[in-house]
Amino acid sequence: MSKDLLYELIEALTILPGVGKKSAQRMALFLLDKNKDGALHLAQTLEECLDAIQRCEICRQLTSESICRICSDESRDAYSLCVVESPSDVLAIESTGGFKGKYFVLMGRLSPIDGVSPDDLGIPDLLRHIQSAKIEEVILATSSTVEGDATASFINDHLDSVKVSRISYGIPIGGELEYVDGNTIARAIQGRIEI
Amino acid sequence: MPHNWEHCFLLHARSFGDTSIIADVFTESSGKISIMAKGAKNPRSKFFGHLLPFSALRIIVTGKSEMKTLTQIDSNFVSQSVKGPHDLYTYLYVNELMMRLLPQGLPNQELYDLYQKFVELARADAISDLDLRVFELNLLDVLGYGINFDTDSKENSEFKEATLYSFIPEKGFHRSNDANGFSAQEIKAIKNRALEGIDKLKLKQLLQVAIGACLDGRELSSRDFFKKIRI
Ligand SMILES: [Zn+2]
Repeated sequence: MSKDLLYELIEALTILPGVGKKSAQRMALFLLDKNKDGALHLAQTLEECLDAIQRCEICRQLTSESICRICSDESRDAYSLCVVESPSDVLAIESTGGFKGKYFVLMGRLSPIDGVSPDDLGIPDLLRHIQSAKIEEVILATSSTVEGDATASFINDHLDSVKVSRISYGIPIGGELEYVDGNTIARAIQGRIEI
Repeated sequence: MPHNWEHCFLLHARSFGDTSIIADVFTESSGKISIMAKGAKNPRSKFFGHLLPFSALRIIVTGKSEMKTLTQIDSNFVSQSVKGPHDLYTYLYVNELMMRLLPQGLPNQELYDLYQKFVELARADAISDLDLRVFELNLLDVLGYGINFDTDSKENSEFKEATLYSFIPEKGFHRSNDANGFSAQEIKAIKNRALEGIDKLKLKQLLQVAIGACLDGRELSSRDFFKKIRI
């Protein structure tokens, strides 16, 4: 039996979050029938990304360069650092436009049961970076979960000569930033509390 | 068979895929079980925001396999999780203990009450070092790993005044010349959970050894995790 690539594409699209069989069918037909140029561009970009994607040497955000766009942007406040759990948190905060400093992406939160340690989260690198880049304010934007709070207090325990604040206002308990709307995040950052 | 509401505490939750959560809960009627909460990471989910460590929950689960499926959560019966900042490391340690030491699917009312009491203290942010030691001692007792505080494990005799005793895991206290040992009086005090007069570090080490023996050599991560990093 010959394989029909149409069905393979539909199947492939279902790996996307929130995409079931039905939406995958719609997407596949749209790409192959209605927008072939767009489809080609998507395929090429995806392939290039997969080849080039790495972690920013400074902030650990996903990027195709060795230093990401935000870290190399000299118009941003280099003395204010926002610590987040995941790459999507950076995008969520960026989309609000309310923060002009830089980021550090932990790629998780401390979880003894899952074996996620301070080393796994690059916390030693973070502490060195705070020291060498002469950061003046650290904003801890980890999630409002016991692990997120523990991660924030662990980092805070290692900082003494910088201003440290924690965002909490309006972020629902247990909420992860990627599910929180822009206004709420903007308010949370504005209403951060010094700890 | 009709499905019943069960009371439980959430011990640990982790992401499963992009939208779901797998949680380990300690239920009053079925002991520790793993549950799958489909779509629970979506803010529109009825489970959203409820599956947090230390939350007391009322739930309905279905399924015959080891992994149950969460179908209902009583949103009128959701207690808050614990809040730091003071004892977060302790809380994570206690839940790691519960996760590692509890057998799967074995109800234990005494343990449930013990844990419930601990969570109530934690919510009030009122856990002291000694409360934690008492919890550890009681936990070992209810799980059947209790320490023998009554007799010298080698000589099978009562503890004597003016003698020091060392602790050997799975055996108990025996007479030794170790200056760091425990006196008969101290052993009796620990038995009665009257811990105020006992050297804190010595007590902590005793429980560390006793608990370590129950874990078959597997280390508890939360012990080293929160040690200060030097950069
Ligand atoms: Zn960067």
